[in-house]
Amino acid sequence: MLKKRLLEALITTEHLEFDLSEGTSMDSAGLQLLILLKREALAREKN
Amino acid sequence: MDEELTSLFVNECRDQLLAMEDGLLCLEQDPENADSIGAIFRAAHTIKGGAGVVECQFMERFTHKVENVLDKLRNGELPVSGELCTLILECCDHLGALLEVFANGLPQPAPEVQARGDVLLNRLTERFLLDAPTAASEVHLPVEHADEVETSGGGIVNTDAWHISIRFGTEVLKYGMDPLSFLHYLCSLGEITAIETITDGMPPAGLMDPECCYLGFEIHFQTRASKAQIEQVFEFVRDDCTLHILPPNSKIDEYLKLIDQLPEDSMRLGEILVRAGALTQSELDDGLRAQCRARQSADDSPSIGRVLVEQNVVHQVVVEAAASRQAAVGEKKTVEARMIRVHADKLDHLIDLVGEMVISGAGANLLAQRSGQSELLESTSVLLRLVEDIRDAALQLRMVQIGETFNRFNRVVRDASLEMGKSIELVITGAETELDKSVVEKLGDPLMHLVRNAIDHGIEAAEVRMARGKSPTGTLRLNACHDSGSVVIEVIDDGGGLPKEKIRQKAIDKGLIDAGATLSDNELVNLIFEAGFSTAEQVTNISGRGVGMDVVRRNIQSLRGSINVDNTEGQGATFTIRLPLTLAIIDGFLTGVGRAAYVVPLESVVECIELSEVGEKRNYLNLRGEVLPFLRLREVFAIGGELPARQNVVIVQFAGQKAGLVVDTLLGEFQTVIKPLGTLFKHLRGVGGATILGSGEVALILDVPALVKRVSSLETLSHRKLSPATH
Repeated sequence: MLKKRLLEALITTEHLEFDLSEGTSMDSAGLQLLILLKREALAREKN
Repeated sequence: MDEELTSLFVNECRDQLLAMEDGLLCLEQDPENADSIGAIFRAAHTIKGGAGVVECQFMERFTHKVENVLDKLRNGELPVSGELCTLILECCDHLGALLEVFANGLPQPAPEVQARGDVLLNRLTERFLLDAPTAASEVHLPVEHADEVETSGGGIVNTDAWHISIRFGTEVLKYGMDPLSFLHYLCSLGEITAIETITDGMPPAGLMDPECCYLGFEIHFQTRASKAQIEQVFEFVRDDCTLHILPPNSKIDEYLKLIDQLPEDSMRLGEILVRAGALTQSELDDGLRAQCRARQSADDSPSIGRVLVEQNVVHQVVVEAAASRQAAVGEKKTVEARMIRVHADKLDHLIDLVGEMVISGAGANLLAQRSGQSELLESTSVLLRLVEDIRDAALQLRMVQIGETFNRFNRVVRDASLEMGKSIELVITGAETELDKSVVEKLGDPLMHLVRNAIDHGIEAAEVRMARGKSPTGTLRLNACHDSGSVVIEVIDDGGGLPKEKIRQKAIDKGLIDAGATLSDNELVNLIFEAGFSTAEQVTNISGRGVGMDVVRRNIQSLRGSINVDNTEGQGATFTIRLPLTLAIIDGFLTGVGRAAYVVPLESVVECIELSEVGEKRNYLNLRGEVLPFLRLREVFAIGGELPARQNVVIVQFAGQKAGLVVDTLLGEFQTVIKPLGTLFKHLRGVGGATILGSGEVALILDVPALVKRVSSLETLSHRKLSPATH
């Protein structure tokens, strides 16, 4: 679900920013999702 | 307790103690020498193991403590120091004492021996086991700055950090395992100095399943943990990941060192690598499976070493070291398997029997000659040749290299020079020279005295040497070589030499010579071999008790040898010992004088000539333009009777001097079994022993060195009579 929401958010905007300051930890699944998103953003020439 | 086992342990233990001592002396000279540390440790370990087998608890306990210190030394936790070497050497001495206790069948060491051991153990504990100045703790690990990590997937690392390359399997998240938690756990072992996340395996967004894992990491990791410990971090995920752990460069050296120090057991290559820590068991299992697969798919079966290198789990150089170690151990085992320890008594018995066989053979030959039957003569001559070969082979069994005796002096020189506050280097040459075991055994004491004398009286203190324009470090040489059937052993020092004037004065004081006596330099310095002679102004622990050199000469003479000294005042002295190769059977040259037979050792015979007309009073002849002094054996041994029509001269040589021995008849070569003369004939000059002829008669063996000396002293005497002293 989260993957779908994040990819949709990337498609609909030019500039996407995550505020993770409230998060205390992240697991590998979260990390690889962020990596995926970063890769997609670069592929679409977004930041 | 099995007597044979006990004897084996005692002999083995003596060898190991010598190995320990040699290793310690080498280590003191070269503290970086890992081979020496390995050798010392292995020797101590073998002693401890052996002591355990023979249930010698007091030795086992003591060695265990020594081994603890050696282990710290081997692991770099203790620096090599003079104090440490000295203490371990003392422990070696104590182990030697404990071994004697065990060898004598005593259940426990005497209280004073026990107390000495306790003192040593306390010193070991206090100095090196409690607050040991840990070398490793003083050395900070070189922290690798965070280099950019490149995706390698398992290449060889050229940095000084571990390189961990891991690719997690896609299913790990579903199994409830989080890769990041493994990395956190890894940090408990050390420090990640650089990390790169690898996502090459992640599919396009549409195909990416968030519940699958696509992560991999390339990690630079600083730790003191072993490869196995690092691998253990990933134990739960081991089957679901691809893991390569590559050691830092410094670790490779450590592996090489560890491989070298492994006990000399027959091990397979993989086992060696696992024991050294260069490979983990699971890496080896993977490698063996890969080798098995390769074997099934192709005719060519790759070696396990090649498979492991191809899998990038171990460096080529480490595999090569393990392979050569394996080969070396195999070779040593093969050599050891070809060696056999035999009790010396059995050899002595064999030599005795061979001696009897030689005499019987000579008897048979004599009878054959008398019978005049050519077939019998031929048969006995073949038999004699075979007996000769058996004699040589039997004597060869008792031949040992002198190196072992020489090497003992490393310790003597070290300890004595420390005690005297001198700097002395011992140089050993010709250690491979072989001589009869019975001679070697009796040579230890005289050599010890000569070496101690050289250290004490010969080599000067560093400041004196420098003032004389010499190197502050003195050199003491021990040399051995073969020279015309004899073994020559030299003890050479570059010290101050023998003080001729002091010797002269001392000899006059002791009444050894008259005040007006005219002596050559050689005669003068050789006075030191007279009884009770010592010029030391201060009696020290090393030597100078004044009972030495005459005992040295007596000991050497009892071995049918001789000793003399060559001296250059201010430059040093050379003591030369000449010994026969064996004390049992020799090749002799049989001669006859009147009705008696005499044997001249063949090794000293140069040639034989007929004695042409010389005057009764003359004792020299013209040998191709050379003056050759001679002795008439008839006169020497007071043999009466008619002179034969023709006399012969056997020309002998010893220590570069030639002399003639006038005999009646030359009877030819003769295998001579040396039978010692009884104590009654101890003072007989010119005779070294006796032998039994084929006829059963006794023949005397001539002592050529003594006769040559007699000739030369007679010559010197007549020379002096001709040219009276001018002072």
